[in-house]
Amino acid sequence: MKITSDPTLFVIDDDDLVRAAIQGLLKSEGLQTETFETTQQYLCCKRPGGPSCLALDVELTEVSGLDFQRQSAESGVRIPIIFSM
Amino acid sequence: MAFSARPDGSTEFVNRPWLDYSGLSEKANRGNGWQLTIHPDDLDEHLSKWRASLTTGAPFENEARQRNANGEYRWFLVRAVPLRDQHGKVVKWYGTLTDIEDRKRAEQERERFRRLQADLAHENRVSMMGELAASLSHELRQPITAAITDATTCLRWLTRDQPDIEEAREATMRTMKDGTRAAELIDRLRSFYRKGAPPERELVDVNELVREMLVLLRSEVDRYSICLHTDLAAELPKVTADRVQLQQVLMNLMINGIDAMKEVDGARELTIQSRRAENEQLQVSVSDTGVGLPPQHADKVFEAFFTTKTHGSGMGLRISRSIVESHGGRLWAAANSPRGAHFSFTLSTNGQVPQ
Repeated sequence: MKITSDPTLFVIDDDDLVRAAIQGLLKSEGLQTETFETTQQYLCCKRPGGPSCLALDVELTEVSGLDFQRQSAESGVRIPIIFSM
Repeated sequence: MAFSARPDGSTEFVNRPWLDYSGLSEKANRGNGWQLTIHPDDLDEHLSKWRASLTTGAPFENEARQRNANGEYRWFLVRAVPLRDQHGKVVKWYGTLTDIEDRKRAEQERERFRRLQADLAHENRVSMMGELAASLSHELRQPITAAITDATTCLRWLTRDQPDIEEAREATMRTMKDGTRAAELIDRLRSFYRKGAPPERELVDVNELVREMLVLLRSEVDRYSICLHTDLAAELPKVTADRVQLQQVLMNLMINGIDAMKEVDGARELTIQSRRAENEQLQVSVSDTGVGLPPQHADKVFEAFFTTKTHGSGMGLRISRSIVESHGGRLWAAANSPRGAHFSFTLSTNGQVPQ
C-alpha cells in the first residue's frame, strides 16, 4: 500500500466483480482507490493520514456493514462511510 | 385367439374364442371386417404395420385395443407369421391375438406413479428455490449491478475530451464477465427447475455438483452467518446418475442444515464431505451444528410429511431417500458431535445402477 496524502477511497465489498466495477468507475473520475474483500483486510492495512472515505457493502459476509460502522467507531476509526447496496 | 389371412391381408378364418370376444359373426369378420373392432386411435398404425408385413413378408407384431362384444376396449398383442410355398411365396398368414390388458394397465400405473414422483420432486425443487428467493435475487443482483457500473465507466472513458480506448476496452471486458456470471447463475437455476423427464443417466462428478449447488447457496450461507467447510476428496470416481436428482438431494440436505442453524446461537458450521467408501462406493456427508435430530427417532425424519419446520412440506428427505435408493445407494441420518445433525449417502461408482 502506497503512503500518500492524495485523497483515497477505500472500498470493501465481498463480490469481486462489484469491487472491480466500483474501482473502475472511481478511476474514471480520477480518484485513487484501495479495495478489500473483508473488513479484516481493511483494518489490517496501513491507512494514510490524508483525506479518505470508505465505500462499504451493507451485506458483507462476516459482519454486516452497519455493524462494522458501529464497531469501527467504537474502536476509534473515524472515517466517512458511503454504503452501497 | 387365432386367425388366418390371405396374402392380400383379408381375413380368411377366425376361431371361436375371437368370435365370442368380438361378438361379431364369422361373416362380419371376413375380409376387412376385422378393422371394425380396432380402436380408431390405434387403427392407422396397425394398418400401416400390417401393410408393411404384407409387402415384405416379415412377421407382423403390434399392440392395439380391440373392442369386445360389450363395446369395451382391451389391449391385445396381435402377431402374424407367413406360410410360404416351396418357391418362398406367401400363401397364407397365421396370426394370434393375446389379451395384454393387465400388463398394459400395470405399465400405465407405473408410468403414472413415475410422473407423480417426478411432479413431487419438481414441487420440492420449486419450494426450495422459493425459500432461497431472497438470497438468489441478491446473488443475481451483484453481477447486474457490476455490469451497469462497468458500462457506465466505459461510456465515461469514451466521452471524455480525450477518449481513453484502452480503459474503455477494459471496462467492456469487465461488463462481459459480469454478464457471463449472471447468465451462468440463471442456467444453473433453470436446469435445476426443469421438470423431470424420465431419469437421465450420465457420468457425474459429485464434487462438481457440490460446488455448483454451493454457488446457489452462497448468499443464503452468508445471510445467516454460516461458516462453510468443504472437504472434497480429490480424484473421486464419477458416478452414473441423474444429475438434477443428485443436485436435489444435495440441495435438500444443505438447506436442511442451514434451516437447522438459523435459530441457533454459537458456531454455525455447515460441512460437506466427499470420500471413497468400501465396495466401489463413494460417500457424501452434510453436517451442521443446528438443532439436531429428534432424540431416539433419527429415522423418523425420512417419513413422508414429517417436518419440524413451520413452512416445510415434510417431503424433502423422503424424496431424497427415494432418489438415492433409485441410484442403488443409501441415505441415513446420525447425530453430529457435539451438536447438530449428520446426513450421509452412498452412491455406487461401478456403473451398476438399477434403472
